[in-house]
Order: sequence, then structure tokens, then C-alpha cells
Amino acid sequence: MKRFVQILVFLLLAFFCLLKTYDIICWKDTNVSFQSCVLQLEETPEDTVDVAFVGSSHVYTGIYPAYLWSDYGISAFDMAICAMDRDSAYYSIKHLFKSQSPRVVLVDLYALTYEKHQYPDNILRNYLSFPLSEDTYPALKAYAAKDPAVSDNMLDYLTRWPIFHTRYRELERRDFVNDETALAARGEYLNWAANAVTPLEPDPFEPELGNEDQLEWMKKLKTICEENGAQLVLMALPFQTDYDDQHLVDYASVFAEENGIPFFDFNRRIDEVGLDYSTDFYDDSHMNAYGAKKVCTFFGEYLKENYQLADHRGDPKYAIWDEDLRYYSHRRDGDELDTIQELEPFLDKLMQMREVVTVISLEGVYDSHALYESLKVLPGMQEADCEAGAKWLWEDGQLTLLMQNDLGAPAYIRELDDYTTLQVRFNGDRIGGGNIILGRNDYSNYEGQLRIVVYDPVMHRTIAAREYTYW
Amino acid sequence: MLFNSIPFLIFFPIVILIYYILPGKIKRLWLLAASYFFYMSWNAKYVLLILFSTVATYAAGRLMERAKEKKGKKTILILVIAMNLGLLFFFKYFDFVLSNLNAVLRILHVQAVQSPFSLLLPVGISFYTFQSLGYTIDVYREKIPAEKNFLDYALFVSFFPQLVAGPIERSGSLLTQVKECSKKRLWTWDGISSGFGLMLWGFFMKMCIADRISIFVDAVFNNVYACGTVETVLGAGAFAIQIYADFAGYSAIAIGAARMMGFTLMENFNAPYFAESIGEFWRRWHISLSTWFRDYVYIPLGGNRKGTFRKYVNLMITFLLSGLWHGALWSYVFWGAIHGFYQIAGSVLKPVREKAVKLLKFREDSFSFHFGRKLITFVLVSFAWIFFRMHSLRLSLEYIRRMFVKFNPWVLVDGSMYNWALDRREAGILFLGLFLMLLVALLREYRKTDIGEFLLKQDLWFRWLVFILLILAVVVWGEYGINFDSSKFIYFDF
Repeated sequence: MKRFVQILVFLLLAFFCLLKTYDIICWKDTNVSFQSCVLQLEETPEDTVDVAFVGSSHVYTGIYPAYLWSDYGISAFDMAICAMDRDSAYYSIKHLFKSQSPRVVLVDLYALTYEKHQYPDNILRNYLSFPLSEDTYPALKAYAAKDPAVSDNMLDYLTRWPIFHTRYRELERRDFVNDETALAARGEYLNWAANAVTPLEPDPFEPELGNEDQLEWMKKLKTICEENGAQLVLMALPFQTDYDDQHLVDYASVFAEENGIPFFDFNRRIDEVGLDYSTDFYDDSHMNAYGAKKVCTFFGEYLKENYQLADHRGDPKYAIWDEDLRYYSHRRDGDELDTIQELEPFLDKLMQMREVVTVISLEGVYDSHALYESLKVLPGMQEADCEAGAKWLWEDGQLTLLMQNDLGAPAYIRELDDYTTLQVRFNGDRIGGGNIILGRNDYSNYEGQLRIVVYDPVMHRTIAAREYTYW
Repeated sequence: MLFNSIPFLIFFPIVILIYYILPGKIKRLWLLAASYFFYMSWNAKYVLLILFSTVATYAAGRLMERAKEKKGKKTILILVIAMNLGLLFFFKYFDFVLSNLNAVLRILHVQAVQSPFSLLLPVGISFYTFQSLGYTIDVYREKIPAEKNFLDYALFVSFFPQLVAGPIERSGSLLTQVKECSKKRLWTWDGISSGFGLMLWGFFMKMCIADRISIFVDAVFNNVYACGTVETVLGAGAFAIQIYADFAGYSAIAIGAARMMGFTLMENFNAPYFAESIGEFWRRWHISLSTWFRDYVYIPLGGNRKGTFRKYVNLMITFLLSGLWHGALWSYVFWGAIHGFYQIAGSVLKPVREKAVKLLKFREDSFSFHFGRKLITFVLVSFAWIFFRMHSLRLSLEYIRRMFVKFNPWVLVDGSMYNWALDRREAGILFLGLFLMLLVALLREYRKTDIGEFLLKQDLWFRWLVFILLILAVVVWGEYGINFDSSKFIYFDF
């Protein structure tokens, strides 16, 4: 009996270790936001999502729930994964309904074009994102029908270890500890980069019937939404369509009309929404934050008008949307700051930012008056300190003198977050003297006499490092 | 159903759990059914072959026991050997003979003979054929009585842990245990623990060491013209390690699996690369096969009882046959011939060697002397492995030529080795594995124990820690999964 208990305890211990290892090594969507929307959904309190957007990268680059939250108080979520095929879309919605009761489910129709574009690798990434459940096997069977690589290796895909155990080669800190910024995101992928794109003109023609699979898929979506008390909305977010793609979208519009399903084809609503091909896109198929803002405003108005959704702002149950908005603001400010090179606008932007830590360092021989003239916009800046050479901390509107450049001055050390320790000291006026160290990176004055380093402890990253010369 | 496959991870626990709880007599039937299921998972049709071999050798044993005259017994023995080797020949060597015949016909400008068959080598045929022939010869020699119970005998031939790649068991040992298992409980808690540890170690050797180092070995052997001295020398040494980790890993799993059920299989490896001569190497390498050849080929040929020249001839015949047993290729035969040559040269040069040792005042009791002998033996064995791995005499010779014509020592220090087959991370894991393998070999050499038995004597916390670390190492660092295709055990092809 004693031995039997021993074996049982050992098996439990081994199982626990395997489970913990699984958590570390399991698939995370490292290509996009590191955590897949499935993990973000797990972090979301039950029955808080009022509106779900389902689809591929078109959705996570084109719909920012943060906009709908900040402007309308709508708790929206992007159930979006790379190149979502029709089966993934169906099982995504099914998974969503297990913990949420959205009033409206908006499904992007790019999945209709799967046969044409085909991203089998992404399908498997998507599959691996979902937790094991009663849907695992049917989903896998559906994928196997499309991809012999799956059907030939069903056991490997079912058990998953054989697929992702090689992730030990790419593990990073975020695999071991929860990354709260990624988990609080609402499925979106933030991107402010703009590239001018050339649209293809949709051909006006009479829509024809698509294939049976496509029709069946839309029927299944309608049924599952009806069964769960949600209104299905079909949409095609803007992407560079050609004749065939548009054909399928138009085909879906007929189905939508016949079944009384609201339908939005944004390729045909570019002007109505105010989308600009020169500023609102990242590439031919994806919008950027500016485009997303316009589409979200369109949907915000539409949802407000048609569904009487409650404004949840201020409700502690929906705090995760506030967190998402907070992270969104940090990302936006960080990205914006990083694009500014000139000192004056750089300081202006810095003074507007909160929850960031800035180190300002003067070293070497410089024109102290000119330097003071540049820095005096910061409240509390003293010319005498500029003359002597000094290091300051700028944080939430407060300027703190850390030290004058005195070899005997004690080092300033501070834990900025769980990831990074800041060390500021004066080792003499030498290039790269180990005077400003963030984590393991040396940001000391290198060429310029004025060094400004900005770290965001909320996003756990250095968002800007500038040097300015004052001879 | 490979040992390192998900089906086996499902199959094995089910088999042993039911085995533990079944009453004595049914245990054997259960193991027999499991063994046949295991064999049929490779290719169901080939079950007929093992069944044929089993029936033939069983019947031969019974008939020989009843035969009153020696002549009759001999006739039966020759008949059953011819039948079994005939099957082996047909499936393993028919194409080989045909291709050689066609080579001769080509020279004579005669039209080649087309093979009327499309043959797939049945898994394990070389192993179970030799095991059942060993039994038949033992019965003929009256070393053991003929087995009366057909089911017991069938289990002896097909016992799944050692069915497809050995160890090639002797009837005196395994058959006795098969019979005992219905009378008393063979398995013990200690056996379960020690067998489990041994299995885990076997998986580690196979999946973390052999299959990882094989990436480097394949890169070298498949791209000989891209390699210089360093790569070819390291490649030869790496293959020596690969084949050891692969086959010894398999054997550890087989022995461990049997031990968990209370069966003791013979050791197949005894730290072979610690051997100080080729003769000693063969007493430590694939012991079940080399002792089989010793007992059933070398000694019947006369062994060393008929003078020095006959001894050398017998040695050469034995090693040529051993080479041929490994596969139907001339390179295997050549590999066997090299080992035969090593043995003969070692014997002939023994007086010279002893004189040289005295002349150069080597200290025979020093570490350096023994280390030097081990090193020379390893180099000789690794050299012979080149022919084994290359599968072609011409390419083997080209490989050896490259060892001497492209001297490129800088690749050892400029980091380019890491950009090729194994990067620094993978090489680091490999070196860790090799270090552990060395520790386990030292355990074997100096403590005369295997890792399963060693762990059994340790405190529970340490044993569990090693078990869990091995499990995690295998599931994370093991080479397996969809993009991996070299996970088959090398000896399954023999």
C-alpha cells in the first residue's frame, strides 16, 4: 500500500511538473501580440464582452476595442487570429460563447477567400492557441480535411507536445511570467505606421452563388449566434480586393440580405467612412491605427444606434478595458515620442506623458547657457545645475536632481518594474562610462553632452534615447 | 510502434497495468497477445513469418527430443535452420544477391534479371530468427529440454520488449522466466522503479543524444565534399557516439520495460568505448549478438582449438557473417572484415606491441597507458564505423581521403561549426547529454551497475528528481515531432 501511494504521489508530482512546463512551452502568438486573443479572452471576466469582432488580421489591425471603449463605453473584443479560415472562425465563436454572451457578433468575411489565399501554417497556429476541449477533435478533423500534413499526424496534433516542444529554442521571459500588458489587450494589434496603398476598383457585377461550403459556413454562423442570443453581423473590412475576392463578398451580401443579417462591405464604403488610402493603411490588406479609428467610429455609431448597449465605463467589472486603454495610450505616446527628433517638441511631448521615467544627463564640455535655454521649459530646472553638470529624473511633471557630476556622489539605484533596475551615477566625463544603465543596457552619454533616456515601466521598455550636442 | 512514439506510450502502461493484476496463468496469454499486437502494428501481414518461425522451431525441438538417433536429430536441425535462414535470406538478402548477379551479368553483357518480388524487410526478423535458432541448437545440443507448451514458447520468441531489436535472448534464461511468470509473481516494486529509471535513461539517450548528434552526423556524411579534416574526423567520432546512444538507448528501454514486468534480459552493452582492445570491444558491444556468434558460429567452426591459422580463419568468417547480418550491403561485409582484420592483426602483433611497451618504458599500471589504449581502440572502431555509416565503399574511401587532404583547424575556433548543423544551444544540450552519458558509463565500468539499479539505491527524493528531470529533458529537448524524421532506431533495419 505504501508503495502504491508512493507511485501515486510521484505520478501527481510528475504530472504537475509537466503541466507547468506545458504552460511555459505552449504556443503563444509570438508573431503578433505575443499572447493570442484566446489567452486574452481567458483573462476577461465572464459575461463582459458585449460586442465581438471575429476574423483574421484584418480585424486585429482594423478594430481597436480601446476606441469603442473610450468613445462609447462599449466592451468590445477582437476574437481575431492570423488568416482565420472558416473553421477557425466557427470554433472561435463557439469558444467565445463558453464564457461570454455578446449581444453582437461581427464576422469578417475574409475567411470566404481561404481557398484562394490558403495559409495552412496559420491554421495550425490558430488551432494551437485554443485550449484542449470537446471541440479540439472536431476542429482538428476539419483542419485535417484541408491539410494532409494534419491528417497524417493527428496524434501529434492532438497531444500537441510533438509540435511545440521545440519552442525551448525561442523561450523568453514572457513565457515564464504573465505579461499583463499583452494579456489585458483586447485582441487588437497596435500599429501607427502608414503606407500609401493603391486600391483595386471593385468590379460591379451581379453576384453569383459561391460554393456549398461557404454557404454552409454562413448558415452555421447564423445558427450558433441565434442559439446564443447574439445578432450576427457580416462585414468585409477594407483590403485590396480583386475580382474573385469581391465576388465572394458580394455573394455573402446576397445571403445576408436573404436572411436579414446586417452587412457592411467597407471596400464599398471608403468615402462614407472617410478612409484615406494614403494615411489609413499599413499595407494593401491592413489598416493602421488611423484607419481603425475611422472604422471604429463608424461601428460605434452603428452599435449605439441599433443595439442600446450599456456604457460600462467606470464599472469595476470592466476594469480590464481601462487597462487596455491605458496600455494603448502608453503605446501610442511611446511610438509618437520615438518619432520626434528635435529637442523642443520632444520635451513638449515628454511633459504631457505620465507614468514614464526620464533620465536627463549632462556630461563633458558644453555651452551651459544654451543648454539651460533648451531645458528650462522643465519646471524646476536651475541654470547653476546646468553649469555644474548634473543628472535629473523627470517623472509625472516633477524634476528631481539626482546628483551633480561629482565623482563622490552616491549612485542612484531604483527598481523601475519587475524587469528593469535603473542605475545612475557619475564615473567621470568619459564616453559610454556606465553612467546610465537600464537593466543590462548602457545608455550613458556617448557623443552628445545632453542625454535623455525615457523608460516606460508600464510597457516595460525603453521608448526613447536621445543625445544632443551643445558646443 | 516505435518505443519513442505516442502509441507505445499508450500501449505500454495499459499492457503492464493489466499484466500486474491478471492471475498467473493468464499473464502469459496476455503478454503473448500484447506481443503479437505490438508486432502487427508494424505490418500485420508479417505476423505470418514470426508465426512460421515459431511453429517450425517449436516442432523441431519436440521432434529432436523424440528422435532416437543423432542422425535424425541432425537432419531436423539442418532442415529447420535451412527453413529459417531461407526466410531470412529471402526477405533480407534476395535483392542483394540479385543486384550482385546483375553486376556480373552486366560485365558479361547478359540481360539483367528482374526481381519478381517487391520486398519490405520485416521488422526484427534477424533478431527473432537468431533467437529461435539459438533455442533449436540448444535443444539439439541437449543443453535444454524442448519446450512442451507452445504458448510459452511463442511468448519466448515474440516477447515484445526485445522482439524487434533484441537483446537476442537465450532460451535458458528467458524461456525459464516465461514459465515462472505463471507460477509466481515475478515483478517487484523495486523492479518497477529500477526498470522505469532505465527506460527513462534509454529515452534520453535515444531522443536527446543520438537523434541530436545525428543532425551533425548527417550533415557531415551527406555533404562529404563540404567537409575538411576537422568535420570528417569529428563526424566519424560523432557517428560512433550516435550508434552507441541509439542502440544502447533502445536496449535500455527494452531491458527496463522487461524489468518492470519482472523479466531479466541480458545486458547488451557494457561501456564499450572503455574497451582497451578490439577483442574487448566485442565483449562489451551488442553482447547478445556477439555471444550468439561466438556460441553458434565461432565455436562450432573450431574456435581457437584447431591452431592459430584456423583461429584466424574462424574469426574472419565470424566477423564477415556478423557484418552481413547487419545488412545486405558490401559495406557491412567490409565493416565486418575490418573488425576481423583488427582482431587478427592484434593477435599477430601482440609480441611486437609488448616489446614496444617495454622499449618505450610505458607504465602499464598508469592512467595514461590505459587511456591511450582506450583512445586507440575508439579510433579504430570509429574508423570502421565510417564504412558502416556510408553504405558505399567508394564513398567511404572518399570520406577517409577528405580526412587528410583538407586540413582546416580554424573551423574549431571561428565559430563556423555552429552555423552549420547544430547551433550553440543545441551543441550545449548535446554536450550536457554526453557528459551525463559518460557519468553513466563510469557507473557501469566502476560500480558494475546500470542507472536503474543505481537510482534504486539512492534516497527517494534524489530518485524522483532524476526521474522528473529525465522526463522533462526528453519531452522538451528530445528530437521528435512532425518535422523530425530520423527518430527510427538504427538497429531496426538489421
